[in-house]
Amino acid sequence: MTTQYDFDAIVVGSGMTGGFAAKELTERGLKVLVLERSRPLEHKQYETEWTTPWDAKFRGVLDRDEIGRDYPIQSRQPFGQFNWFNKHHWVKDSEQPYVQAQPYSWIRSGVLGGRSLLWGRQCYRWSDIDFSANKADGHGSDWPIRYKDIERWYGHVEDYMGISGENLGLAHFPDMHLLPPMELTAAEKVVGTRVRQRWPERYVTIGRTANLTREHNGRGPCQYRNICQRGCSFGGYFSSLSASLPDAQKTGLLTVRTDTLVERVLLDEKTGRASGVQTIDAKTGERRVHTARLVFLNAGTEASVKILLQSAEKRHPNGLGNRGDVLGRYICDHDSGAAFGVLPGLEDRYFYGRRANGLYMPRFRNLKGRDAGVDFDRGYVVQGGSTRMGWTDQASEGDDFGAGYKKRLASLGPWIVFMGGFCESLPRKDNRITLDPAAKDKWGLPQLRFDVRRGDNEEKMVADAMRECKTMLEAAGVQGVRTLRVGSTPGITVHVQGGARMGNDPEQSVLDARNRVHGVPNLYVTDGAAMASAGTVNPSLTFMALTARAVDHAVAQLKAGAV
Amino acid sequence: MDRRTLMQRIALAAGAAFWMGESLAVRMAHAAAERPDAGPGAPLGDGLMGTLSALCETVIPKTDTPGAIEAGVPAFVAEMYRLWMTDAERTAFGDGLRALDADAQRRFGARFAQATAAQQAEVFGALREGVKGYSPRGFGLDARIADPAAPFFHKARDLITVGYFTSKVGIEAELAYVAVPGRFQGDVDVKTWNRQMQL
Repeated sequence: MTTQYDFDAIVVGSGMTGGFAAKELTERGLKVLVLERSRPLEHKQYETEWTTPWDAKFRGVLDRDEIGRDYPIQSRQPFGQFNWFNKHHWVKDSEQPYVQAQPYSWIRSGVLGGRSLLWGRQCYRWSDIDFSANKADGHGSDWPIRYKDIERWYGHVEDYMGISGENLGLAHFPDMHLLPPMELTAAEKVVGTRVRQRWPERYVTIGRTANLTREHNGRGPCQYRNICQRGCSFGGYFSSLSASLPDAQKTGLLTVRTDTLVERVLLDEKTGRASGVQTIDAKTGERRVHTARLVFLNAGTEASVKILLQSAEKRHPNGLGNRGDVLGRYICDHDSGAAFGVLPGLEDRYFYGRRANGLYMPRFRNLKGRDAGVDFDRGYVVQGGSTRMGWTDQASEGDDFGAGYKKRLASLGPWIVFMGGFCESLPRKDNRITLDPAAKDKWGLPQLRFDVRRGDNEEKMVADAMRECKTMLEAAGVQGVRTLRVGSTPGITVHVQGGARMGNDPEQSVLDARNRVHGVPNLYVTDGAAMASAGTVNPSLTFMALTARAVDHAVAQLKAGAV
Repeated sequence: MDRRTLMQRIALAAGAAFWMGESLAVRMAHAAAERPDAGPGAPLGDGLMGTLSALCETVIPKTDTPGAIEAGVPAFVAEMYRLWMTDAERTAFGDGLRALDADAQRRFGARFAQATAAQQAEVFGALREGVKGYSPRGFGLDARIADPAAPFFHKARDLITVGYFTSKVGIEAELAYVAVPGRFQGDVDVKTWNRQMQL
């Protein structure tokens, strides 16, 4: 019997991986439906992109009533990611509640393109230290793949996205296909040189960022405005809206439905394979079924896990692929602690333009098992940057006013340099997300319940990162150094991974080595949910490479008639 | 003040450039929760607009560049008073302006707006003594502006400062509005470029 399908493939989510899956699938000739729960947004129709400071509501001073009511969680992001000019791109916490059995910051986009519009854009490859970490130290379960399995897909993704940066030729920090690097500032050059003099194995390099230093695939280059999260009509950085969805659209094979939640993945009664999804219209509440030969879940780590849990049915009574009570467990991310201070001197040096990037230091801890004197497993990278204090910083200091005050604020203040460790949290069984048994959302679906905590290893690693950052800054001549823990609330660094980890054993993992749900061979999950550990570096590039690899596999299966 | 203390104070202010998150959000949530009657209040009375204008010019005077009045700052602060402040902040702000008038009257026999620039500076500067014990939770200007308990001296100085340095007049005179920088140079001599770029 031939079954008629509405589409060849359904992709759930339009963010980093969903948009990219759609592009890869359509370019291979598949008819694709992208489902996005949030509202539509058109590339180049970014409402605040050109808003001047003097036209901003309240001149950019946030409305406390609005923030307290609608964005109490989204606004807690630590590095200024939430601001007057992008608040309309985040979800309203008041509209999309969840249950915090333990404090958890679920940071989400509220627009088509998802967090690809709002991400930090830092891109790094994992190395085999990351892929073999679980096996080596016994935390979590062994990854079913190694660097060689994904290496060509990293290159494939990099060639498409366009990433600027500098290769260092380090085995634990693999070289990439890169566009020319951005420049370090005068202060960063000084700090980098002084740190290297004392610690030859600690490299200060410019961040590898998906901001284009020259035109690439018809996009960009970056205009050095550093207002990425308003949306960039130059396509100066990679997003689904600027790149993958328009390229998918060009094939004529893409359909996008916004304001459409996916309630569950539907399985074929006879074969047990995915046959499509059931959706809810976010505006009307109307339920619908869309069918396809392939389904890709790319809803974002937490939301993809939620859909798998909500899809429980008789062959998968505890959620899809959840034979061994692993689904929703082993949630991990990056904790963070930082140090900052003032670098005296260099008063005659400044920079021109606003660089949407910073400095980066590859991991130096525990590269070959535990280093002597280190009391934690795994390690961290350091990200940082520098600027000269501007009028807002200088206004917060002192109690002067008048002509001298006016002149002081307009002048360039001292150099500030900061460094922060991004610390891999361990995959632990007890760190889990579940469907809350009582709380429902406005569509009657269960709310997600978060029970994720930091552990001893994270505490020790963050303490070490803060101490080392402080030590390095002081060695470089930075004064008045203070440290600050910024990642103690799980989720806040928006590097959340796990919940449907990959593995070879269906009892010990949710996905196989190709990102397919065990027992449902045409259902792929290729966002952060698939990760069996959090790795050291910023994660998005690895999600993208896994997506490209999974699409390649899925299309081959489809063409071979296997699904 | 010794250099070490100075550096620590500057570094504390530097936190704002680096970190603007949790304490600000928490503060905002608290501020909202403490004010169930959110909404616009009455505009600043006509009698106080003159005082506010004079205060704006006291904080950011006309020099070889335009001052706060020319940059339209009084209207901005009046708007913040009406639409943004909490009721308690409005009361404190109105009281603060009236106190400036009373003190000018007491010291110089004139309302604040009619006093000389030097007299105005003396009257406003006298408020410093009363705010020495205050420090906002969290870092920087944003946190202090968001603090409903910030004293009048800071609330006025901070809002006037924001009003000036976000105005077209103020930015063009003192900073730079460059909509599309188009390039990044990480290490330039301040003789070739020394302006804080605003967007």
